[in-house]
Amino acid sequence: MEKRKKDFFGIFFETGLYRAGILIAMCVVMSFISKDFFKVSNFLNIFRQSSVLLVLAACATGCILTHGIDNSIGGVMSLCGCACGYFLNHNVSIPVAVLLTILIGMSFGCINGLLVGVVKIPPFVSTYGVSYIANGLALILMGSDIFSGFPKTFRTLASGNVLGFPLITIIALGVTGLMYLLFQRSKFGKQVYCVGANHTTAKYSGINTLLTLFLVYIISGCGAAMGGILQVARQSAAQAGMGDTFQMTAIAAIVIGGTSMAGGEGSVFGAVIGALILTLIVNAMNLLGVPALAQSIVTGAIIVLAVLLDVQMKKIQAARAEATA
Amino acid sequence: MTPLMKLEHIDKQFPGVRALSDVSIEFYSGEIHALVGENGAGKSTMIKIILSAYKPTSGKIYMEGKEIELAGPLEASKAGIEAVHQELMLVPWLSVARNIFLNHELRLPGTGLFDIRQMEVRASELLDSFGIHIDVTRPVKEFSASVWKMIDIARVVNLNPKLIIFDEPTAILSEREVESLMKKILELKAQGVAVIYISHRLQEIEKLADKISVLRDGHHVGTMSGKGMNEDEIVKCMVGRDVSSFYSRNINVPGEELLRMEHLNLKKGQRDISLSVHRGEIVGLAGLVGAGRTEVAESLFGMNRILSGSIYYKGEKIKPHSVSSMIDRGAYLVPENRKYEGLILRFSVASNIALSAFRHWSRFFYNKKKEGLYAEQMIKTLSIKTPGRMQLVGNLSGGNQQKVVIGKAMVTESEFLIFDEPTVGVDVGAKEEIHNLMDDFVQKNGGILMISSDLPEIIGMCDRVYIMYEGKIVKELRREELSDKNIADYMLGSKGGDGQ
Repeated sequence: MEKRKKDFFGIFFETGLYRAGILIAMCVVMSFISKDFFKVSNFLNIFRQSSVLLVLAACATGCILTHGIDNSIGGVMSLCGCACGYFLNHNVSIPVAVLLTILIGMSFGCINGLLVGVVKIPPFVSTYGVSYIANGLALILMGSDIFSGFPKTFRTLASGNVLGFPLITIIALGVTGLMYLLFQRSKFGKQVYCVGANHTTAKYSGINTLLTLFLVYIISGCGAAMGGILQVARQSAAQAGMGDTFQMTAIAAIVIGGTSMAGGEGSVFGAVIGALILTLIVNAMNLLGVPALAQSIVTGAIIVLAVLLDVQMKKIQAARAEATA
Repeated sequence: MTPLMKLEHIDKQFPGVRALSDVSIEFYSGEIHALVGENGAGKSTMIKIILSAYKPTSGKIYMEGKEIELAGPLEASKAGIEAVHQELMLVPWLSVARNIFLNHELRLPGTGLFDIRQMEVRASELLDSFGIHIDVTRPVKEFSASVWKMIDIARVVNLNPKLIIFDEPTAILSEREVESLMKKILELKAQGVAVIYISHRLQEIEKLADKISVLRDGHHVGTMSGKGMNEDEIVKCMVGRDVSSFYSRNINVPGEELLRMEHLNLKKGQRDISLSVHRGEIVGLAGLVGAGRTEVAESLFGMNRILSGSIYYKGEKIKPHSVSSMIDRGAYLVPENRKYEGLILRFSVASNIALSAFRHWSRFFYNKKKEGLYAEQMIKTLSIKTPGRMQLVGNLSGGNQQKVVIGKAMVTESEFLIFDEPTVGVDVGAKEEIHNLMDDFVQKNGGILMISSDLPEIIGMCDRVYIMYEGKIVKELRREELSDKNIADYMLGSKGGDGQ
């Protein structure tokens, strides 16, 4: 292997590590501003709050890597959450309920894969349509009811601790780790990147592009289902529309993490950073007492800033690449 | 006579690279000035400086005797400098007429509204003069790449520039279109336009050029009169060494049969296709762009459905349904458009070489170690010029990109290769190397089916040639029957037509 001389900044830019830098910088700044911030309890809180988002974002990264998008995460999450609540309230055992719910999520992923891969409808629109269908089914199932009163064991998913660490976060990190192996290290992951970077070349090279598309949407659907289950456990309640706010947040987390909407570029690690940054912003505003009404303005502004920074970084990177070429 | 444009002691420095050093050239009105050099010799940099897309690091540019300093291509355009770029520069969903008048729309007097009728009439006349007869009200995307190119050329000519740069205009044109373009360029010359002409096809330069300037490694080697230059001399100046014979083939006795197509009828309209390729053979598939050659090749890889007829591969009757199944059988298609079909430009050399083979290297995890190993091996055996295997393929020259695509095929241990236009946009040096690789491949008992629009290449490389015309194979010629005239007659449909 040729040894390329790499300075500190080179590594910083090329690996996207500067995004982690942003996260750390935010933590440092917060530690100075608020005395409640730099506490173990608060960090555990941030982890707990970010868990659902982590699962959703990590699992949906694949779609964006293939130059697609899954706009049905929110809808499928709502439906799955409600379905899970329904099963539990109808005396289905917890493992079976969880399994059935995940199957529902995966079948919606299947539909997305079919629409995107076979029917070839642009993913932005087709998954959006599917989202409406899932939402509608949730409404039919629930009406305006709220399911609650789930078994205590189920709620432990969210409230439990293992060695002082929230169980829900351990689950989230487990899922994220699995996604990392799948997208970053596996043969399948390489196919995902190839399909996203150049679909035609992937096809000519003998990569099964159709199967790849199917699988990423199934994985994303699976993630939406898991997100729904965890959210129901966290709230001890399920209602229609519970996934709505997660839709754009999950996509935002992936994009803030540096995954390109143009496909073929990005990482699960980035999505984790993105999810943590977004959660941290909300946590910080709560600590600082920013009124709830103003919070979304600040979040929006920070998302725009983060993407702006990314664009600038890419320019610097490109200039450096040209300089060394 | 003052030159229309004069470059004086132009230097262009990029961080770490000196792309041009001390280049002085003069371009005169009514003169066709060919610019030759291998890829990376500095031709594009020079063009960009003339178009003022780049600012020279030092040196002066004069136009009609006055020193000029233009702010960018827009100002250059105002000054009468235009270029036909290598890439296609049209808006696909706008009509042909709108594209031709893009940014220079004709307007209805007094209103500022577009006079679409007038533009269509004028565009139609203009294209007729290029020998292109199409409906100018249709969106550009409905036409083939070669028609795009002609539209683009017509667009630029319509601006009445004083200086036109043609950058590889003929790479995707068919023989017939090349001819009408040549005629047009000579017309422009007669009208007193200065023409800068860049092409890898040396016959064109031989035919057109009044002057030839050679660039090598950013230096201006010299400018010679184009009259009486022959190809060998031009090549020698470009490469700086003798490229003895363009096509060296070792002719083998054909071995066992690799591929046989029998009376194929294909979904994309090709009829009654029968052909065979044996081990040790390079078989050509000649024809005009649009004759259906690529479509025939694609039928072997499940990309063009077979309606009737049969395909035998290594003696076994097969039903091709996917690219991967054919790769597994040892067949590989090196596609026509390496940038969009053959490579992932923003991936590294190593990743690209691995594209078709990595499925077999590992169960679950991607085998990065093997990727590196094979990449190093291919870089060495194919002598791919790259700073390293982690270099992005997009940064390599055309010839080296093509070698990476060949490397992709080699690591799958293919025995049968289909090359679709193997040397388009590849400079002479690399072209020779690719041809040697092909010869080598069939020496080692492989078989090749080569689609090419480059007649000298077909004649120089092939043992046998099938000629296609409008979706049918109209003739099969043996090596000793190959000649420009013979092939062209069948390609253009003036001979053959029906029965073989």
